[in-house]
Amino acid sequence: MKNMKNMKNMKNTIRIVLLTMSIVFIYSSCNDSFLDKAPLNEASDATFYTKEADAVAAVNAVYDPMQWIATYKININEVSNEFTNDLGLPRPDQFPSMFQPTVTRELGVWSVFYMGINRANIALIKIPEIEMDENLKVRLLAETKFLRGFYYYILTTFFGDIIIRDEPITIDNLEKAKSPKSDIIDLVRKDLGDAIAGLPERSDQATSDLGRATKGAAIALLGKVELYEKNFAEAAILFKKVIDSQEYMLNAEYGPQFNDGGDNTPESIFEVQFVTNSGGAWGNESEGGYFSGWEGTTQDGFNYGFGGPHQPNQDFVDDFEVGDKRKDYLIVEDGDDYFGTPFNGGRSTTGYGFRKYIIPAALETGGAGDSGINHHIIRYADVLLMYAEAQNETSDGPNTDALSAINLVRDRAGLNDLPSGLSKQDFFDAIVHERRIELFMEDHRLWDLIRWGLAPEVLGDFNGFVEGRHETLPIPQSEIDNNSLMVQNPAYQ
Amino acid sequence: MKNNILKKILAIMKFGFYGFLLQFVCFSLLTAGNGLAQQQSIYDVYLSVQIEDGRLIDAFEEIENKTGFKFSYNDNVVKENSIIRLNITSKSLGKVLGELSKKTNLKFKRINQNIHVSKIKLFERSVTEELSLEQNITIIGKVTSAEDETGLPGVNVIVKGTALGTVTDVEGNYSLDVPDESTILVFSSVGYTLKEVTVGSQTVIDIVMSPDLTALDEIVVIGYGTQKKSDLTGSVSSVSSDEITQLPTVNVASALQGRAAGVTVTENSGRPGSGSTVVIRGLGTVGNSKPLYVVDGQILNDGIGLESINPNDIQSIEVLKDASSSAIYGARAANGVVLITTQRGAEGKTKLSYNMYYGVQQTMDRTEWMSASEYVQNDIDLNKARGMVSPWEAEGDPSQWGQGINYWDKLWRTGSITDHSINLSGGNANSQFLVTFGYLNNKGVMIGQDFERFTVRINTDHQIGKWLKIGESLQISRGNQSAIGGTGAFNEVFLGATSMVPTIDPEKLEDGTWNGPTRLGEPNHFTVWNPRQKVAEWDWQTKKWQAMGNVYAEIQIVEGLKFRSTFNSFFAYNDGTNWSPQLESAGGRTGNQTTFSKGTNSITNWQWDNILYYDNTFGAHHISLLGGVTSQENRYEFLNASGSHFLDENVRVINGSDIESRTVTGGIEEWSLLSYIGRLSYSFKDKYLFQANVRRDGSSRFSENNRWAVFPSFSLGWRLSEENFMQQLSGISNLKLRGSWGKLGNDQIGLYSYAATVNFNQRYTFGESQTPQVGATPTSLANTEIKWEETVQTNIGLDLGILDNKLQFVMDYFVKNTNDMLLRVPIPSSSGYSASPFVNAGSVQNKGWEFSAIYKNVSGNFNYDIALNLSGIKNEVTSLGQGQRIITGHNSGASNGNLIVDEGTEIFAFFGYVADGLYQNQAEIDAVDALNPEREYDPGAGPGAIRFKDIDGDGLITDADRIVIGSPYPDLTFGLNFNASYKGFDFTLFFQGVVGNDILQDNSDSYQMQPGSRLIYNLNRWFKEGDTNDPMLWGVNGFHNASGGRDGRTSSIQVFDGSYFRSKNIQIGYTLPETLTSKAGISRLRVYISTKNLFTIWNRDDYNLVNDPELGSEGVGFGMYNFTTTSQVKTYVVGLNISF
Repeated sequence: MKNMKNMKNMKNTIRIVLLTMSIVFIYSSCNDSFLDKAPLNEASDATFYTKEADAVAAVNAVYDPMQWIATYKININEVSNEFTNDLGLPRPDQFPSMFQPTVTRELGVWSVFYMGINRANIALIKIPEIEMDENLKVRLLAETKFLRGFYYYILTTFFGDIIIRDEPITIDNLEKAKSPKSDIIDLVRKDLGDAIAGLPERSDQATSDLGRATKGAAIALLGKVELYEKNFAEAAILFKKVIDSQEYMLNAEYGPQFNDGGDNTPESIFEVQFVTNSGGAWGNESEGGYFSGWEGTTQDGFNYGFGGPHQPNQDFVDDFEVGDKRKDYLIVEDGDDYFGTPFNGGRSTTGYGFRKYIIPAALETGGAGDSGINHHIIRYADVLLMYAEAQNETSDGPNTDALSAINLVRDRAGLNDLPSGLSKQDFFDAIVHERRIELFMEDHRLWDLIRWGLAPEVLGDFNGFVEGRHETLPIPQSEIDNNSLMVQNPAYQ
Repeated sequence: MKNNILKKILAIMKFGFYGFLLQFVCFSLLTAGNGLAQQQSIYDVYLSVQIEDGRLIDAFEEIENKTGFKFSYNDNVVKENSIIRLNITSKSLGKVLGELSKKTNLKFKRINQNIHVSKIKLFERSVTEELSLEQNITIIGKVTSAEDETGLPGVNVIVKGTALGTVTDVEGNYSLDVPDESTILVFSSVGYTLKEVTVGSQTVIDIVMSPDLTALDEIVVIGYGTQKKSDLTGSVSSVSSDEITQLPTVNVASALQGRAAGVTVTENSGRPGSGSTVVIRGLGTVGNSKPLYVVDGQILNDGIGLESINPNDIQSIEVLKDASSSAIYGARAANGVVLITTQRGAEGKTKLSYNMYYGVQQTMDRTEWMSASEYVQNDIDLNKARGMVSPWEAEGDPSQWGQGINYWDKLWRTGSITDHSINLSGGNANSQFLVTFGYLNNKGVMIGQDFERFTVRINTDHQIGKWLKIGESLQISRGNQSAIGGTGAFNEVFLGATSMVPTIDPEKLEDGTWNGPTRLGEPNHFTVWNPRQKVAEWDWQTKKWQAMGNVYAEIQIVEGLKFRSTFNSFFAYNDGTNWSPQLESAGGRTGNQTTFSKGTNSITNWQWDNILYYDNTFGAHHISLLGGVTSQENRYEFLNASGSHFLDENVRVINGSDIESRTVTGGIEEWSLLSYIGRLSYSFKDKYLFQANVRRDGSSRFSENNRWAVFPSFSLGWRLSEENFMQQLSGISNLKLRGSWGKLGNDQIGLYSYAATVNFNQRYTFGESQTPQVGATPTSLANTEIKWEETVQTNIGLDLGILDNKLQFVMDYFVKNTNDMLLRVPIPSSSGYSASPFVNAGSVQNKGWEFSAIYKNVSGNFNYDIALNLSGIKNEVTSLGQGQRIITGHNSGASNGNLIVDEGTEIFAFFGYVADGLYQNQAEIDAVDALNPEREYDPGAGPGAIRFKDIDGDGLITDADRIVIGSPYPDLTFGLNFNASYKGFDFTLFFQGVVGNDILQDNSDSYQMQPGSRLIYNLNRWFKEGDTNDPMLWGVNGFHNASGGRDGRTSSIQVFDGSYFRSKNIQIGYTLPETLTSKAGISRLRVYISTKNLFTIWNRDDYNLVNDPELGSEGVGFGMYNFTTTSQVKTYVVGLNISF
C-alpha cells in the first residue's frame, strides 16, 4: 500500500518536472521573436522605401518644411518684411534686440530648413534603390535637388557661412564645422543645375502635380542666386530663359492672385501651397498659412504673432507714384471697405492696413490663423524686375530688354512706361522703388536692401540696422552649444 | 525666517526623540515577589536525564514528565532546533538546570510548579527558585486566537508584578492559582498582542488574543515570495493595512506619505483622483523616476491601475528600497519597488465587516485679491506711472466700486468625500475566500472636479489534496472623473479668475449669455475666458473600466520543493470626452467654437510567472532557492476623434459636429519583456544570513544587440543578538547588521527609441484640388545603441530591538550611483531633428540615511506606541558624459529655463539670477552701463526692474550670471506617529513634513504677476523712484517697459522656504463594549472622527505667492508653484467600522 502511494507520488513528481521543463522550453524557444516589437504606428526605416508611392511620399515630406511656423507660415515673412521700414513705427532697438543668438523665434528657419535638407538627403539615398517608373524617379530626384538647393540658398542668405549636410543624420555625424558661403553657393548651383535637367516645364506638369517644382522655377531660382552673387550676366541669361519659355505671364490684375481663389495663377513660378485645414491647429501639422487678417472680434487688422508691427506706415504709403493702381489694393484707410466691414484705423498703430494675403475669418475653417492662401516664392513679375536689374548692371545702364521688362510690371499698375535714356543709377533707383511696391510682403525687401548695400542707410535709424553686423542673422545658440565644431558668426561673437 | 521654521521643526522632532529615550530609561522589569518554601525545593527533586543530540524542548518535556514541573518560555528564547547532549544520572533538578544553563545560556527560575526560561544576562544566577504564598483563588480558562477562534497553546499566563504563572496546554486551556481579586493576569505569546485582565470576582477567564502584526517575526512580502522579518538582509519598509486606512485615502500611494523612511510621497494636487508621486531614495535620473508597482505579484506598467485599487482591500504595502531586495525585478527596479498585497480569506467563521466614512473638504488656498476699488485705483496709478491715462479715470472715484466681485472665490465650494467598503471573508481548512465591495465619491473643492470609484474584489485559495493549491485574485473597477480646467500647468480657468475685472459679475445674464469681463476696455485684457462660464459649462470626463487579477496553481512536488505558475492579466478601457462650449472671452476672442472630442484607449497586458521554490533545513543550515522564468506583454491601442461647429449644443456627439471639422487619430503600441530570475537565501544557525539575487531581462524596448542584461545583487546579515557574547548584554533583544550591494535597471524611455521609423504625417498640398498628400520621412533620430540605465546601490543597515523589542530601531545608510543615465541629449539644430534622442550619458549619485524608531507600550488599559521616521538624501549629478548641462523647466530653453542639471548640481536644481534690489532711477542704470562702454550692461533694464548681480564680474548681465538659486530637495523628511488606546477609546496623531527645501514661485511668464492682475501683491508695486526697494517686486514683466515687459528671467526673489510640519491625521475613535454590541449580533462597532491636514507650520510669505508648501507634481511641477493648480485640501471625517 505504502509502496503504491510512493509510486503514485513519484509519477506525479515526474509529470510535474516534465511540465516544468516543457514550460521552460517553450519560453526559451519563443525567446527573441517574442521580444521583437516593431513600431506599429510608423513604418520601419529598413522596410519602407520599396514602392513608387513611398518615393512620392518621401519627396512630399521634403516640401513640408516650407509650411512650418518657423518658415513660410510665419517667421520667414516676419524677418523679411517686419525688419524693414515698410511696416509700423520707428523701432531702433529692433535689430539689436531680435538678431540675438538666443532669440529662437527669428532663427527657427535654421533647424526647419536643415530638417528639409536631411529629408532631401534621405530621399536622394533611398529613391534610386526603388524599382519604379524611371521618368517619375528622375523627376522626383530633380524635385528633391530643387528643394535642397532652395533650402541651402535661403539658409546661406540668412546666416552666411553654414554647415554642409550631404548625408542623412545619424547619432554619429551630428557635429560638423561650417563651410564658406562660396562653397554653399556652389552646392546650390549644382543642385539647381541637376534640378533643371530633370524637371518638367510647367505646361508639361499634370494638374494634380500643381505646386511641385518645375524647370522654370529651378531656372528662375538659379537666376536669383546669381543675381544675389552679382553674376549679373549669368543671371540675365537665366531670367531670359524663363521669359523665353513662354510658360509664364503677368496676370491682368495685380491683387486677386494674393487672395482667396488666387492660387497658382499663370504668373506664379513657385509658391508655398497652403490649404485651410479643418484640423484647426495652426501648428506645424496644419497645412494652412498664418497670414491672417483677423484679430479679435473687431476683425480689423493684420496680425501674425504677438506684439509686432504689422501695418504699412506713412513712409511706405508716400512711396506710391500718383495713379498707382496697386495703392488702393495694398493700402486701406479708416472707413474703407475691408472684406465687407469698415476698416478701423484706430486699431492700427499707423492708421493703415492692407489687403494682400489677407483672408476673412469665415474662410478659415480651422479657426484664426489657418489661411488657405498660397505664399509666393517667385513669380513672373519678380523675374521681370530681376531681369531688368541684371541687364542694367551688365549693360551699364538700361537696355531695351531692361526697360520693357520693368514697364510690363508698371503697365499693369497703370503707370507710365519709364523713358529710355535713364542712367544706370536712375534705373537702379526705379528698380528699388518698383520692387518695394510690387513685392510688398513677399519676403524680398530686407534681403534686397542688404544685397544692394542700402540697409544701413534705410534701416539704420528706423530699425537699428548696424552695418557689418546685421547682414546675417546669428547662428542659433543651440547650434553653438551642441556642436563643438561650430563657431558663431564673427559679428555676434 | 528659514532658520525659524527649522528650529520649530527640530524642537518638535526632539520632543518625539526624547519620548523614546524616556521609555528607554524608565522601562519596568518584572520583579518577583517573595515567597515561602512550602513545597519541595528543586534541589530536593532528583532525576536522571539522557539525551543524545536531542532538541532542548525534548529535554524539557522529559523533565516535565519526570518531575511534574512545567517549563514556560518564549519561542524566540528556546529554539526548537537547538541541539543538546545531556547525560545526567540521579542529580537534583537544580543541578540539571544548572547543567542545561551552561550549555544553552539560558536562565531558569522556578516559581511554584513552573520553571520560567529566559536568556541569561551578565552577573545573573543561572538557576533561582521562588515559592509564593497563599494561593486562594484558582482561575481556569481558555485562550483562543482572534483569527480563527481556536485554542492557543503555549501562552504565558503570569500574575502581574510577580513571576508566578503557567502556560496554556495544547487546547489553550490553563489553570492558575492567584493571590487575590486584585490580581492582574498578563497573557503573552509571541506573535500576539499582550493582554491584561483583572481577576475580580471571576474564576473562569477566557481570553481572545489578537495577532500582533508588528512583532519581530512578522512575515514581510518580498519579490516573488515572503520572508521572516528577522531573516531580511535588505532594506524593506512595511506599511500595514491599519496605517493605510487610517486616513481618508483615495490613492494607495498617498498612504505611504510619512510612513516609510526614505520614501517621499506628494499628492499631485487637491483635485480628486489626481494621484500621488512617489520617489524612493531620491531622484536617480532625469527620466522616469516612478517606482515599480506590483500588486499581488502583478507588475503594473508605469503604475497604471494603481488608482483603481481600493485602499480598504490592502493587507500591507512593502517598499523595497535597496538593491538586494529589488534586484529580483531587474531592469525595472532602479527607482525602487512598491509591493502591494491585498487581503485574503482565512479559515474560520465567515466574517462580514462594513467600513464607511464621510468627510467634508475645504481648500487650503490662501490667495488674496484686491477689492474692486483697490483694483481700479491700482490701474490708475499704474497708467500714471507709465505716462498713460487709465480708462477708469473717467469713471470717477475708485472707491465707488467697493469690494466688487471676487472671481477666484467663485471657483471653490465645500467638497465632500464618502467611502463605503464591505468585506466578506471566511473559509474552511481547504478553501478560503474574500469578497469586497467598495464605493468612493469625492466631490472636489473646485467646482467641476469630481472622482467616483466602484471596486469589486474576489480573492480565493483552494487546497486540493496534499500537493495542489490553486487560487485567484480579481479586481474589477470603474472610475469616473471630471476635471474642469484640465490638469495642465496652463490652466485657463485659474488664469481667467486671476485677471478679470472685479467690477463685473461673471454670472449668466437673463438672455442666456454670460456677462463678459471687459466692458470698460481696461488695459490688461488678456485673452482669457470667463472662468465662471468655463466651470459651469465645460464638460471634461474620463471613465475607466479596469479588470486586473491572476490565477495561480502551486504544486508541492516533494517536501520543500514546489512549483508555482501564475498567470496575470490586466485590461483597461478608458473613455474620455471633452465638451467645450462657445466661451465669452475677455478681449473678444473669436475662433473659439463649440468643440467636442472623444478619446478611447485600451490596455491589454498579460504576465506569466513560472517559478520553482525550494526550501529546506539541514541541521543548522537553512537554504531557500528560487528559480524561474517570467514574461510580460503589453498592448495599448487608442482612437481619438473630435469635431467642432455644433449646430445644436445639446447634440454632444461627433455626429453633431460639422463634417468638415472632424478629425480622427489612432494607433497601437506594444512591448514585451522576458526574464529569468533566481534567488539563493542561506542562513546558518539563524545568525549568519546570506542572500543572492539575479535577474536576466530581455526587453523589446532595445535593439537586438542591447536587448539582454543581467542584474545581480548580494546581501549579508549578521544577527549579533544570537551570539553568545551578546546574550550577556542586558536589554538588547535584537541586533542585526545588514549589508547589501546590487545592480538595477531602468528601461523607461518610451518604446522605440532604438528604431529608425518613418512617419506618415508630414503632409504637403498639391494639385488643383489643393488636397494635402501623404509625406513620409523619419521625424526622430534613432539611437540603435540605446540600453538600460544602470543603478548600483550599496546599503548598510542596523536593526536594534531593546526591552523585548518594545523599542525598535532601524537605521540604514546607502549610496546609489546611477550610470549610463538615459538622457535626452540636446543635439545641434542643424541635424533637422527637434526632439533630442535618448542616449546613455551621465551619472547621478544619491547618498542618504534613514532612521526609524518605534516604541510600543502595552500595559493593560492604556496602550500606546510612538513611531518616528527620518531620512536625509543628498543628490548630485556626478557626470553628464559628453552632454551639455541641461537647462529646462517651465520657461524651457537655454536662456529662459529655471531648472538645471549639471555636473555638481542636484538634478533639476533651481537656476537663475541673483536679485539685488531694484533700479530706482535711470541714473543707476547709466552708472552700471558705464562699466562697459561697448555693450549695454543689462539690455532692457529700466527704472523699477530687478537689479541682477553680475556673478561672473564681466561688467555685463548675461546668461553666464545665472547660478543655482535653490534646491527642491529637503535636507530632512520625516513622519511622526502616535497611537494610543484606553479602554474603548483610541487616539491617533500623525505628522509629516520636510525641512530645508525651497519652492520656486514660477509665474515669471504668466498673467498673475503682470501689472493689472488682481493679486494683492500687485498693490505693493514700485511705481516711482523711492516707492519701495522691496525685493518682492517682480522684475520680470515689470511695468517700466510700456511695450510689455522684459523677459521671463528667473531670479532668487522667486525662491521661498519650503519647509513644513503638517498634521496629517488627528483621530479619536471609540469602540463600543462588546457586551453591548453582541446583543445586536455585532462583534465590533467603532465610530471615529478625524481630520486631515488640520494645521501646518511653515514660513508663509507676506503675499501668499506660494499658498501651500506641500506641492504636487500637477501644474508646473517639481518644487515649483504658480496659481494654476488645485491646492491640497483639509478634510474633516466621521467614520464607522462594524464587524459581524
